[in-house]
Amino acid sequence: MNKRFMAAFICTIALILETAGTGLHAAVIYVPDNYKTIHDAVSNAQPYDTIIVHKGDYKDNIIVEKSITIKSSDGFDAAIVSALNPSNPVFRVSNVSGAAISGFTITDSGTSGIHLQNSHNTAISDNRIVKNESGILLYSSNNNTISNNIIKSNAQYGIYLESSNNNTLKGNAVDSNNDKGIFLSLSNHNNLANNSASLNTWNGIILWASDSNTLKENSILRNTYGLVISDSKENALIDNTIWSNIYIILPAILVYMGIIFFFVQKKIFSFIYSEK
Amino acid sequence: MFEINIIIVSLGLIFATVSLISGLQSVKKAGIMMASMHRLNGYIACLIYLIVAVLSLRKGGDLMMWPIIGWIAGLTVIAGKILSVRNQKTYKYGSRLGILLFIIWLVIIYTHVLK
Repeated sequence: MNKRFMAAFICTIALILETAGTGLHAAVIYVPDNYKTIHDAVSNAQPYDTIIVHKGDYKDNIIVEKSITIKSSDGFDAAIVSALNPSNPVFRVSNVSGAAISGFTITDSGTSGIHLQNSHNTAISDNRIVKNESGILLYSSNNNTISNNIIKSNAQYGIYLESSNNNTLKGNAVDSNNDKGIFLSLSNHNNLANNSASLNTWNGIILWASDSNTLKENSILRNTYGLVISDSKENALIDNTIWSNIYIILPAILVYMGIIFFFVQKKIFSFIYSEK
Repeated sequence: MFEINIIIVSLGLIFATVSLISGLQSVKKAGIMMASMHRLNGYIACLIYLIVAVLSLRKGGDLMMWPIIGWIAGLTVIAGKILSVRNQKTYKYGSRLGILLFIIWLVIIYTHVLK
């Protein structure tokens, strides 16, 4: 009986601490119902609030400096956020722990789609980040999770990490960017799993001066250089699929197959027409 | 990664190659067999060209002017090739147009698979 009382007491204390820590009165703010722009909603939100963005095209540069969740109600096809000022990121997350951005199409920034600066435990998921200078940039940001994003057709990098450790990059499609797919610079202990880094103009994945990272089951196809590891040590490469580019090989193979097929077809036709 | 477009375009280049070789062979040595082979491969390559054009224009979403002009220009070369080999006066230009069609297929491979 005494043990049961103690267990109930501990559970109650834990619940009180939990609710106090995460904000029991976290509000849900709707855009454009409560605020016309995402920027206004973020400015007026309290920590641990959730901002839900309904279908629409938004022109905005959003600065996130508190632990809030911003997500779309209908997925990235419905909520398109393009940079109002192209010289700034669409989403800039600075000095925050525990923010989340989910379900947007993010485009038209001359710097980056999402920029994390000294931010931790942030989740970036299910976004489509296209036609920016870079997709997602992390500077001095640790323990973040970047998952299931489509990051393509950006002018420079898909995902760039600098001095950022213990981040998880999982299930992202980082394809067809005009320089590098995923670039880790001076970043350690990151986990890259089940990402696709294909058709990028230069490198698929590059580790530069980055140690003890784990690359597992990534698909790195048809980049100029698939995986580049430079000045880096103790990185674990597990079951990655790397296939070189086929810029010159494919047409040559197809023409060769054509020649072989010609002889096969000639043989078949010679049976039909009884010609030598 | 391996989209249906890549497979169809690859088949197109294979048939264009076979068509080119059989066409050059039929010019070198007149024979009904080589002419039949050339005709069959040529029409298959033409059919694949049309499929690739439709898939490509549909993939692009909004119909853009320049891609349409490009595909129609290629189709004009195909039509010109067929007409030239059927007319005795223009028969000698057939092989040149055939080589041009092969180059067009290489361009299609570059723009739709490699780029």
